[in-house]
Amino acid sequence: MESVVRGTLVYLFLLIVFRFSGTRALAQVTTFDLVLLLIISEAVQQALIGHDNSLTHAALIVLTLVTLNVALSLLKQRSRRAEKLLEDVPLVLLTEGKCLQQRMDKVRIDQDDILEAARELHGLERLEQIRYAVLERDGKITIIPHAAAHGDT
Amino acid sequence: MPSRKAAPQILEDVPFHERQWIVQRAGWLVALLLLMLSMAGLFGDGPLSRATVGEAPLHVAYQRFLRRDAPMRLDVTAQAAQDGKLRLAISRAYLTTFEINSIVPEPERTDSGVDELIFVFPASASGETVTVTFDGTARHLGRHQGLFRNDGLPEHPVVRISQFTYP
Repeated sequence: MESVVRGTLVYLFLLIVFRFSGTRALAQVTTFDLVLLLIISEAVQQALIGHDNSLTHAALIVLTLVTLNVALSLLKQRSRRAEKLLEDVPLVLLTEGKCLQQRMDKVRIDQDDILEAARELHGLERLEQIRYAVLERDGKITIIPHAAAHGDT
Repeated sequence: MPSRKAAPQILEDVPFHERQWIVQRAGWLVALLLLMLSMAGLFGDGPLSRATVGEAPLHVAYQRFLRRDAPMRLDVTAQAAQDGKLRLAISRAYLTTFEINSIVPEPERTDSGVDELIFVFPASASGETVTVTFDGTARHLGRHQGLFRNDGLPEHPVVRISQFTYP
């Protein structure tokens, strides 16, 4: 029983903390984000395992985590509201070369982040070449370039 | 030149985002508050957690808040009886809430009483005050109470403590 309880509590705690920290917070944008994720996993590991190093305990924890994940994915599939609550929704940050500054401030993204994504994904050089920049649910920024700008590259 | 293509199919929900930003910021405040309370000792070590009850000839220094599987310490200071022995009785129910790793000084023997265990410690002189340190690991979740009694003294002074163990 304890394996299932531990797995469930840790899963729910992480779900809540990551939702509150925002999609962008730990999207592995920088090397430090990756290091932070590794530290978090290390910190949580002890709470999950406790003093029980048995194979059964580990198997039950894995089973709990995977089952919860499947259950929530089913819930998300059936309910748009649950999907939004659990996974967030995309947010347009820039339209036709113009930044939507208030939204960008709220999600802690600046022009440099958008330009970085534009360079990385499409080799674009200026904001005017971007038609839409979207903050996706996984915290990454996707870029839709103007057709002309895309043609140039 | 701006494109005339239709807007991309992005399932945006700005009102949802606006509500979410408010909730997120409230969540950050809650996290900050929890961290401050944690520094103060609400979840273990800290001034809010440290407590002392009783006075001579029996007092107990303990932590109000414990965490399961984490180390805990109890300092029981008590006066030895005229025969140079300290007889410290602790409720049996309380002793099941943690695992004793060490007792310093070590008891000479342990006697079994009604719903309690009596630890007998040597003292160098009659009436001497002895501090006994119990180092252990918290095991039981939730609130639990402990009863300590100086069994060697005629008035049998009693001290009660209450602790809470987090998961």
